[in-house]
Amino acid sequence: MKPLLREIRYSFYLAVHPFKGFWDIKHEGAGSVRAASILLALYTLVSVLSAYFTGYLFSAGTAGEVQPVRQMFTILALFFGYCISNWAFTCLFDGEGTFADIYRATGYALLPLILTTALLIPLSNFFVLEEQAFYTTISTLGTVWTAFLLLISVLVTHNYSLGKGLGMILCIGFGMCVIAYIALLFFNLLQQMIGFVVIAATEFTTRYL
Amino acid sequence: MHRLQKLTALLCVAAVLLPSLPASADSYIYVRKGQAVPAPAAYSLSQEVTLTADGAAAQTPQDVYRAGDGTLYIADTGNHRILICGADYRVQGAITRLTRPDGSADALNAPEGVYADEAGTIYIADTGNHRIVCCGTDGSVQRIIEKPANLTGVSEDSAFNPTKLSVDSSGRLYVVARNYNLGILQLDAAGGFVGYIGAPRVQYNLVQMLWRKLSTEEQLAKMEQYVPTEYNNLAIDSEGFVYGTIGTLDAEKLKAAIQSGDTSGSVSPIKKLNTTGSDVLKRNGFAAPLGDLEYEDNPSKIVDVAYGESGVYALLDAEHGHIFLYDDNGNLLCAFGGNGTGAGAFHQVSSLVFADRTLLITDALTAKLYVYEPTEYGTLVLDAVAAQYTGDFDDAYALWSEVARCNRNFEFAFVGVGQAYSNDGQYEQAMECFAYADDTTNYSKAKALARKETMKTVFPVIFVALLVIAAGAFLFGLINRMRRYVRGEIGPGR
Repeated sequence: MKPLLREIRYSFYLAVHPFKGFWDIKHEGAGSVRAASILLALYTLVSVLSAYFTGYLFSAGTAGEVQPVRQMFTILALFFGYCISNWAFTCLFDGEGTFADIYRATGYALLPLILTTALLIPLSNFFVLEEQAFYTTISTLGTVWTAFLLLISVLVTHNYSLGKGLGMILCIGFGMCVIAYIALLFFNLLQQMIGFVVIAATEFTTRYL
Repeated sequence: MHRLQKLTALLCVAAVLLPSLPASADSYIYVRKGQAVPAPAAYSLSQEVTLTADGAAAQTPQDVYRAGDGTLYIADTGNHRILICGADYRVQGAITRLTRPDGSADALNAPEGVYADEAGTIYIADTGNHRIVCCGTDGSVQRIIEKPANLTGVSEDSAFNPTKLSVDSSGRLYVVARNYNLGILQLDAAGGFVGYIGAPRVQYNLVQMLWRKLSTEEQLAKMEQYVPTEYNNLAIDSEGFVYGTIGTLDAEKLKAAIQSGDTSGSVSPIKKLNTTGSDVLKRNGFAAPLGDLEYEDNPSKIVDVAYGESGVYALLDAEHGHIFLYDDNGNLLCAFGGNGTGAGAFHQVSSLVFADRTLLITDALTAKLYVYEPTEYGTLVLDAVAAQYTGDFDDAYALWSEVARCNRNFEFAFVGVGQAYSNDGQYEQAMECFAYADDTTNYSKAKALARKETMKTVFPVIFVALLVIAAGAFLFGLINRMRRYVRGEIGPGR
């Protein structure tokens, strides 16, 4: 139990010491896969709770249309899409990171996003429209901080220079689109195959039985 | 609050006794999301009057005006005459021939606009003869106003085709002329040109301002200074505000304005002009007052405006034959009517006017006068608007509650109920009403007030708790230091 707590507390250290933090994840074995998984699960939970419990003024009237399962799948798909795309492009760009490194680094980078989203749930129920600036500031702070941590994770895990790191980020984005496109094709083909089998079976049964 | 509760109880009893109101197929209202939903009929057709005088039925009546004593003046354009009807909508007379002061005869030619002042002088926009005629009810001409000599903004040989006109309390004429796109023409009592009103100045963006800095004097003179605005109708209310309607708006711009929820008034078929010519129409509803928000082929073409009591005004849409009533803040109260071939359906509406709360509409193709009376529901809505206009919040609450009971789709009624709650100090119920009506602005205001109330009771508790914690921490630190001193871990002093 205690080592797990220590690994999760490491994410706080990482948030304010990104370069040393990511270096230690890669070379010194700090942090662990299970802690990263717990952080990912925590982010999914907080995101779904935010969709349910954000105050009326800041929820854009969509509080009644929440689909928790769909939201969970979106977050997981984005996360794993990012990791796989990241790992795939390291081959092209001579990166030094393994998939475990990338998974741990990305999981730990999520901490600011988790904290700000969780903080905003009670705040959105308390604030008035005039205080929207506070709400937006906190929300933007979380997003920008996490994005910054992700950029640093790419630089440190694969040992890139800044220019190459930024180029890598663009490629990761492109890679995520390609993954999404192939997944779409795959599911479409699967749908057509299954559809064909079902129609053939229906026709057979209605014609000969 | 006791009074409110009593009123509610009374209304519950009354509600049981009131018959249920049927929804009409052609009455609807728009919800905040922009869809049209059915609504109970606020107005119903009570009479279809065929206008006949001297054996000839009216042809393409283009304008109707109601004087203070209830007399109706209808511009019977196709028959080149003005019909005069009494308050019972029966034709009493007609102005077919004019007599000049010198005795010679004169005639109208396709008059499209008519106005009558309190003294009984009738102003006729004699469009076919390119002039304005002021005469009495017997046709005796008092004044003829031709195209003003010192008219600016149009070419010398352009024809002067006045279509609609009105006169303000100081005797100044406001004239809408066809193809004049610099706004409404202002003429003095003698017919001299005073100016244009209602065309906004062009607003330059950064690039255009740079270009203007580099242009020569001649180039600057040729550039557009005023946004081309061609009005097609107008009405002047008792306070001197000029309501003007514009029928030539670009369909694409209107569509963009509707979809973006633009309520700034830059793209608007209705303008309320004050004496300096600025548009002061309040557009505080969730959508700007411009007619239909959802349509299949073309947007609404507003051809007339009529002002009623408590700031309510009605817009007439000739494209679909719809009539829209708005309150003075620009909230849609009801929408009804429609073109069609059935009984009572319009073909091409041309003009409308309020007779107290009754609406009178002329149709150019069927050449009839349609009299629409407010139904029970319509009377409730108008009463609620009037109560809110005068600040009578208890009555407004009762009336809006009843309106909300009749029409659960009418979000503005819930806003009215919410505002009454808010004024009474019941912020939680107010917030519930505003959330139902999707009104984030008012919800936010009520929430701010509720928060202030809660803070009044909660803040002292929090403050005292913080003080206690701080005192406790200080004492704890002090005791800890004393213990360590006694044990010899730290020396005397610091």
